[in-house]
Amino acid sequence: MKQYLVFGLIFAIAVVLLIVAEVPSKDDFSPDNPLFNGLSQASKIADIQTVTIGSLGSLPPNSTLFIIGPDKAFTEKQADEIRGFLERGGSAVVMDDFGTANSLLMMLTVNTRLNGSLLMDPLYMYRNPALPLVRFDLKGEEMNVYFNYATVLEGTDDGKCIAYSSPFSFLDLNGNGKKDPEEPYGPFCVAESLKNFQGRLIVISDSSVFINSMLDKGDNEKLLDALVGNGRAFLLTGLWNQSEYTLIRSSISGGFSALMNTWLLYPFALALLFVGMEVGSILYIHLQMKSRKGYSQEDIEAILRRHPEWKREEIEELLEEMKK
Amino acid sequence: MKSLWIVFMLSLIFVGLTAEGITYPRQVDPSKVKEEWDPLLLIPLFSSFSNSVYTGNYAAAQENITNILISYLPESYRNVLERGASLMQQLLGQLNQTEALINQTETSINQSMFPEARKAISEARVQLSYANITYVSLLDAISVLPLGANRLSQSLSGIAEKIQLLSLTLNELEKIANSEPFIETTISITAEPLVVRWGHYLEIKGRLSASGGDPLPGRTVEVHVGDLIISTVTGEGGYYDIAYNITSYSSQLAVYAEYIPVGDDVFTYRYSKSDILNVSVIYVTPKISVNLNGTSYLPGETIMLKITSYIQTEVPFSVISAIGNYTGTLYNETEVDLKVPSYIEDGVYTINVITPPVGDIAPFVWSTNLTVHRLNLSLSFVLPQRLISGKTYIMNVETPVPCNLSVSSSAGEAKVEGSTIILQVPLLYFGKSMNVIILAVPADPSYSPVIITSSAEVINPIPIAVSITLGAVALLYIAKKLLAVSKEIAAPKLPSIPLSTEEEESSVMGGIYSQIRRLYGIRMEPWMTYREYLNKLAERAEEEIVYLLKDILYKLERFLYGGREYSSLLRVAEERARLLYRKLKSMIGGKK
Repeated sequence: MKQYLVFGLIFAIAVVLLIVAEVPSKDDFSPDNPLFNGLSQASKIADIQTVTIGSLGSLPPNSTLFIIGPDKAFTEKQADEIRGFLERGGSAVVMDDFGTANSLLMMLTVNTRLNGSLLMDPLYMYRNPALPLVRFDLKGEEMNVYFNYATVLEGTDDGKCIAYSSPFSFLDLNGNGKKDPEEPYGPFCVAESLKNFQGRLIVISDSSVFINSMLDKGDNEKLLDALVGNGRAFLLTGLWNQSEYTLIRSSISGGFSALMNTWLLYPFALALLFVGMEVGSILYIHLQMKSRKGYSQEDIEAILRRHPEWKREEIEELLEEMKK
Repeated sequence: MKSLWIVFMLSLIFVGLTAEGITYPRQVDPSKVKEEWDPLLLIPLFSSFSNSVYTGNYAAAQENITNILISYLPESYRNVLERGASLMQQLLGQLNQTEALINQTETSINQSMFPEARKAISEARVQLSYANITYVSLLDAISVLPLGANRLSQSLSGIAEKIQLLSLTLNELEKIANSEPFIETTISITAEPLVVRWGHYLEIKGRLSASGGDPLPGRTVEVHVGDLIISTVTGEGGYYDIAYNITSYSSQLAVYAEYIPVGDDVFTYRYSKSDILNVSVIYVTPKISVNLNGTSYLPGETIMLKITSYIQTEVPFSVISAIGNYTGTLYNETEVDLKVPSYIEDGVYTINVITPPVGDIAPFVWSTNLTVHRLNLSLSFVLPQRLISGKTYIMNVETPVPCNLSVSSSAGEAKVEGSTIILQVPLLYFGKSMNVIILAVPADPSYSPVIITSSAEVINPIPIAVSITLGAVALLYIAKKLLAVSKEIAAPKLPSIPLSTEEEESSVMGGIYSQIRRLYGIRMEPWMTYREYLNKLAERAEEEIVYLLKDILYKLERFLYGGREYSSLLRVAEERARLLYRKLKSMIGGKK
């Protein structure tokens, strides 16, 4: 009974690990999510590494930090760390639409704000006015980039506006999906570049530009390349409301990664050796006993030759009993 | 229970509905989003293109085509729009070519080159007819778009009007070119003096006459003086006369006159051009030298310009550059100090020294490039190659100039106290390495800020000690386990009983079985129980032998399954086994 418990537990752990390894996260902006709302392709193309608050201090100064679609308001500590990254000459790209990046911009003492109303363009778009086309001018290079449920920027006097929506675009203030007389027409500033400390802060009014389903539209991928440049790219994680599965998955993979890259690997390996020995010995004994219990048809025939009066069925039944 | 579930589900739906307001999704799947397209929005784009064509702004028209192409169109119409854009592109080329040929025609007519003008008109007509065909093809191609034929042709009507306009222009030009004027004209020119001082007048005279010497009074003549064109009208006898105040600082001026027929003269007189006269201008060329105290400067340093004038007149001057500007008056020699600002970025900057024109003194421009760069700051900072978790490290940073230091580390607490960095590696930090980044901003602007990233190996004694302990325990455990496993899988067997000191290497029981097989031909088969073997033996062997063997086996069995408390039985069994063995052996010997 005890053996079955051990084997069951090991099997359950193996199944969980297999699921975690094979079934990706479905969360928005997850770098492991290969579905339409994930960032798996962008992560692969730009070799984006994930990073959390608390470790921004170790990023190289010429790297680009993507802060995409935060769900939670930023704390003073988080803002301080991002400020420190900018002070050391890093580039931070804040991409948000109706989220909470305004709290970060406020703490970085930047006047730029995300308006929060939906940007629509009935002419320059992809299939639907809520997926408008905007024009970027980054380092003299023009790019046509598609947004996906985006907003616009306000208070962009401090920096340089690097992307505008078309003159046909409008702000859907009441959310009815149509242009009403009181709703303003574009062009609107949708991305701004600000020189901040030693580094550069870029604010983009859409969080979905680099998701898997948008990366192949227009020049979206080109924009990603231009933003990353020659440095390394990092994605700030821990800003989203994660699903339970993603939480478990990231905890397991994080724990595994921590084990593999730290001194904890050695005690863990020894502990694993203990478990392996225990399981191995159980298995070995089990197999040995099983092989010993094996009786062939020839054995039965030999017994019957010696004892013709014995019943074959009874012998067979007896052997089956012995196997158990 | 069922009704409770229904109430619960309904309440969930109700809560969901009440929560719904103007909340947008962060994103949607573009392949699944509902397609919403209003074809009428293309009309302003087409109108804009048409208007640009009509006004001859082909660059704007070109941009309109780009805009049309990037506007959204369902996939089924995409090829239609691409074909339309291609035709628009073609149309622009043809209209552009037509206009270029019209300009060429006008120039040729102005210069009385009528055969060339007629050729250009003919080529222009061909281009225009191509443009007309392209326009009709364009209307036809985009007629499949759901815009309505009237609305479409109205939006592109500017193109038709443009074609009409160009056709009318060509008709007019053709009329002129075909009624080729036949009277040659001659225009003469004289200039006095041919060497003129700056600010003095140059008198230019001449005469315009038709072939045969008939004067042409009341005609506009264009007199070129250097880059300047002065228009004048011929008087009685076809003479013209102008006096021009020379204010140019060019040493040589080309002076000539042109007659370009206009109005009805176009049909009568031909174009003519006079000889070209070279007029020398005398003015003062300023001799000024500028010397700098260097070519490369640090922020905060002063650029010293020594400006020396060799003209005996006071002239204003300016120093203009991105580093700083200065305006003053120059007489003989003056010195200008420009301080390089501390905030300026490293790079190459141009310094211009200029003096404006003052009377007959020509303007003066001098420029040079100089470099602004900061010195590299060398930081002396040594991070130990190995750090131990739980320890605090104090390191000194040496800089050649006072600096504002800031430090951060990938783990642990790092802080700056004066020029000392205090790094505390947490005891519970299990990473194998850590980075320390130091940013030094020098107080002296001559130096560049420096960022140093140092990496060190981190050793944590806790997991190492745990590993060693676990390793030792593991070794013991493995040994014990191997023993236990071998014991577990070992088959229960009868202990080996040495027959004698000489025969200890073989099994006594094996010897007994072997002797019995030889004496009675009975074999202990693997499938046999001891009882079956004894029963078999009882059929052939003597009762004493059977009894002895039965006794031995019984005792061994008791010992085997009974444990240590039956160890005395083993000794008895051993003795009896030796006895039986000897007995069997002697029986075999007796038989022999």
